[in-house]
Amino acid sequence: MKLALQIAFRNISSHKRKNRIIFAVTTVLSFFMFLFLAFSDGEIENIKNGVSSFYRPHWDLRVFTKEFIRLDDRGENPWEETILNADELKKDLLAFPEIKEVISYVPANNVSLFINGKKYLYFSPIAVEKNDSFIQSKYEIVEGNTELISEKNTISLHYMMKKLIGAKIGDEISIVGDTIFDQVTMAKVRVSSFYKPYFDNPNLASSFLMPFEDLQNYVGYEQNEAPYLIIRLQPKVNPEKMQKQLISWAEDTNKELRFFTQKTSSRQDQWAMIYGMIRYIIIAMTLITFFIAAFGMMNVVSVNLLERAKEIGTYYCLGCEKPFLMAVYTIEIFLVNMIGGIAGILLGQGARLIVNALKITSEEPGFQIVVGSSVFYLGSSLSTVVWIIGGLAIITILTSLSTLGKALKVSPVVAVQELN
Amino acid sequence: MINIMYKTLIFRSLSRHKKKGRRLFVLMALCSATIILLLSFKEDFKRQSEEQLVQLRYGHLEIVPPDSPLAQKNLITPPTENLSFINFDKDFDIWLRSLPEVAEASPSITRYGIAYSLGGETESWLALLAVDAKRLASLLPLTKALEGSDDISWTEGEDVPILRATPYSIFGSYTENPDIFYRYQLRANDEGLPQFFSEISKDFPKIFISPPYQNAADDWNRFLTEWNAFLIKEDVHEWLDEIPDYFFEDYDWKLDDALWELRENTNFKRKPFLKKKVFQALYPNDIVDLWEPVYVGKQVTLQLPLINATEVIALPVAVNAVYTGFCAVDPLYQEVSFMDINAFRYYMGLKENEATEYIVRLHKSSDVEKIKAVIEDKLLEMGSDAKVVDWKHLGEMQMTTATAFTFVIGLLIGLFIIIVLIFTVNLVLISLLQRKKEIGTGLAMGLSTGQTTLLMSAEVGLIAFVSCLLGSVFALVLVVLFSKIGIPGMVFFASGKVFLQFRLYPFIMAFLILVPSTMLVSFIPLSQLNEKMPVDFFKEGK
Repeated sequence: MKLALQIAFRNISSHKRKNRIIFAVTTVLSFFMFLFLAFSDGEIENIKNGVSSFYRPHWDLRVFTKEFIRLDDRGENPWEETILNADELKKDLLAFPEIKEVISYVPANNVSLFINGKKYLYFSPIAVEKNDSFIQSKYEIVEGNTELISEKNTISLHYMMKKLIGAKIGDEISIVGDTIFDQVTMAKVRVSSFYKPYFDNPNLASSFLMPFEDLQNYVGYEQNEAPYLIIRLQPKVNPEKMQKQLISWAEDTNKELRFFTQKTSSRQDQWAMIYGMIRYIIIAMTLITFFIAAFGMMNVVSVNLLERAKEIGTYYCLGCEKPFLMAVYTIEIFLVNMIGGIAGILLGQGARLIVNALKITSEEPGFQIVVGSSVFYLGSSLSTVVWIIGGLAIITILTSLSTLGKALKVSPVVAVQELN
Repeated sequence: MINIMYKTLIFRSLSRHKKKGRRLFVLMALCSATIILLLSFKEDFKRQSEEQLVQLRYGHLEIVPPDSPLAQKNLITPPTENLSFINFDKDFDIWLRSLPEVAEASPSITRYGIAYSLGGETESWLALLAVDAKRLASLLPLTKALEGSDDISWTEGEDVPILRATPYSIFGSYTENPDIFYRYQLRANDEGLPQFFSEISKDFPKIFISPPYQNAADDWNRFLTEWNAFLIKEDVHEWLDEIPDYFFEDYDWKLDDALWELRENTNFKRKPFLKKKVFQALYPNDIVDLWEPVYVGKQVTLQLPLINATEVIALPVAVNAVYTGFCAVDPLYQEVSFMDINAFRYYMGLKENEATEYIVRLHKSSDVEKIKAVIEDKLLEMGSDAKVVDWKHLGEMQMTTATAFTFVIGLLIGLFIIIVLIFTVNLVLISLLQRKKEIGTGLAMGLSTGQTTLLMSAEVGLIAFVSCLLGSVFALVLVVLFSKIGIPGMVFFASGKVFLQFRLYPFIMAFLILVPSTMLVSFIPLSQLNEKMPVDFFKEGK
């Protein structure tokens, strides 16, 4: 194997010119593939940092009562089933050094805002808890009270609402909606500020921020209860291990609780799923490209090897067997593909850094839907690199299978024949 | 004479070197087929997106009041509960519909409502579009019922027919048959089921006729078949008399409610579900709370908010309605249900011609600008301040997906072309090396380097042309196939698929892109010929 590798390296350096074309193609191919998938990674990242972080804020573990899960699994309404002693439970959980934050969650219902004699439909309140550092890192206050969390009985509207519904700081607004018991509920609040998400999205325009306790009270929960808790762990803590630890802790302390990690949760992020599907379509398109590139590669390799008949003949004269030569040339093709692939990925990374440094942003809803937020961002993920390298490996295998068998059928006599 | 010589030389070279050119030929054929498919996909994705917008929701044009959220530049403007109306008389309606470019037009009212099951629980929030019942099919053809009927004509005194958006999400349908019990509706696990089997079969020996049901795996199907067969039987009163007395020893309001609802019910379709509810009330620890599912023929109470309420909270209007059928929905955006505009006006106390918009569908999309201008002139003449907005504005958000795909496909096509061009340059370079004696002989015999360059690039052009022909045939087969079965995985459309249509443009584009570009890049390596003398081609080595 070592010898095959050595010969393959020597061949690459002595046939630089011939391998240049393969290198060029794999570089171009992996560069474009990288950009396509980086776009898709960026979309998913934007969604995660934007709309999902408000409606489905980041969590490592979730804590439910067993009854909540039982009802949810059977399609029954689980939202009335709550953790009744949420504050004590939070304290208990925060005693674990691995746990960084424990946040109560309150579902956001559809509400209407009655302002200046008009009732605007389809707004969503988002609860902001004082110690929720995650959600507070997702927006800035652009006007009004600069505190990130509104005061009691005040709300922070999306900055677009200033223009779209003519809201002003200090305006009195009536919020009309339903409680978890399906009863109509109303609250009077004042506009204390306008917020702007760092990763904006049309779905966030009709969302407003309100103090956690206000929303808790508004939808019908008691002060010390929550349908479930969100746990965020310290860096490098494994959620699965922590889950096991918490399960045995709950058993030991007779707590009727269930803990879910991202992997074991059946509640999926709908936005992430939609953009995930778009990613699958992009991957399907890259597959076609890989297939066509593989065909071109076969052509180049087969012509190259045809010209290297004398070299192959010499190897046979020196006593090499066909399987050994198959390994040598496969390694050669693979290495050239990989060098090209890595060059393409590095170029793509460079292009990604330049594009991201340009900080392209837009307030256009169409733009925000396409790229996932107000920021055009090219992402990067391990799966992208694995997919490109894997694709090039498949090209290598296809090329070897289709060309080497025939190309290595060379008589040792060729080695001593004159050039024609 | 010269032409004949060129032809002879080209065809002779091609036949002599056919082995070498074979792979490039196949590569170009595949590439051209892919370009054709991608261009067709792009066009049909756009076409289907437009059709979904125009034929399912907006039409090509909408005439709206000036303060309508639809008339605003920014479509994220939240709608208000109080509606503004346009009020056009019958003459306008006749004039508009008489325009030869107009396929159909109708006044409509966009509103929302909350549907409650007759049992009282909230069923769903509905986005409603009230239109002229007789014009719905021709105005928005994609609303054709997928299940049930799409006839939403309403007669005073009867339930208002609703053509409901199919209860569907991109992750699958969530409708279920209300007339039968499902396994998930029983709380017990497999070990606990036999106890429930024995309890219920003792209480109702006439329903469960073949006990014992001892184990969940073997007896579940037999048990369920007997239970479900009973649910769809017509008898009710007889069965109610058979309920064992011990169930009534303590007063249970849930049981009382369920029995009352079943006794009073006159809707034959609801009987199986109401029987299920009685069972649930009898065995609340064994059967989960039942929500009446959405099904065609379901009666609901529709709660419509007042049009011009001045209070923060005002009592809504309750309307007796029935789901007459299910129609297609835009899976990623708001799903819409339809009702008769006359019923809506009647219940909401609106005047005969009041509407929140006028939807206009044209025969051809290309007439949008022209008809928009015609309607705007007419409105000016009438002294109306109503605005005309087109489908591109109304569907700006939905169409961004199509725009993004156009961009991605454009990039992919560019990538394919780059790959083909790199390989073409490579092939011509190799040809120059391998055919140097042939080229040298040609030059020595009197061919100029220009003529040789022309001959070789014509060979490349010919390979590209013939491979495009083959690629076109291959692409045509795939286009026909995908026009029948559709390309799956397209979550953007109601059908979940993109159906390709044959059009000449992608085929022409494949030829126009590949043939000239490959011929042009072949000149790059061929330019070396100018620097060489005939004798150079006969030297040994490379």
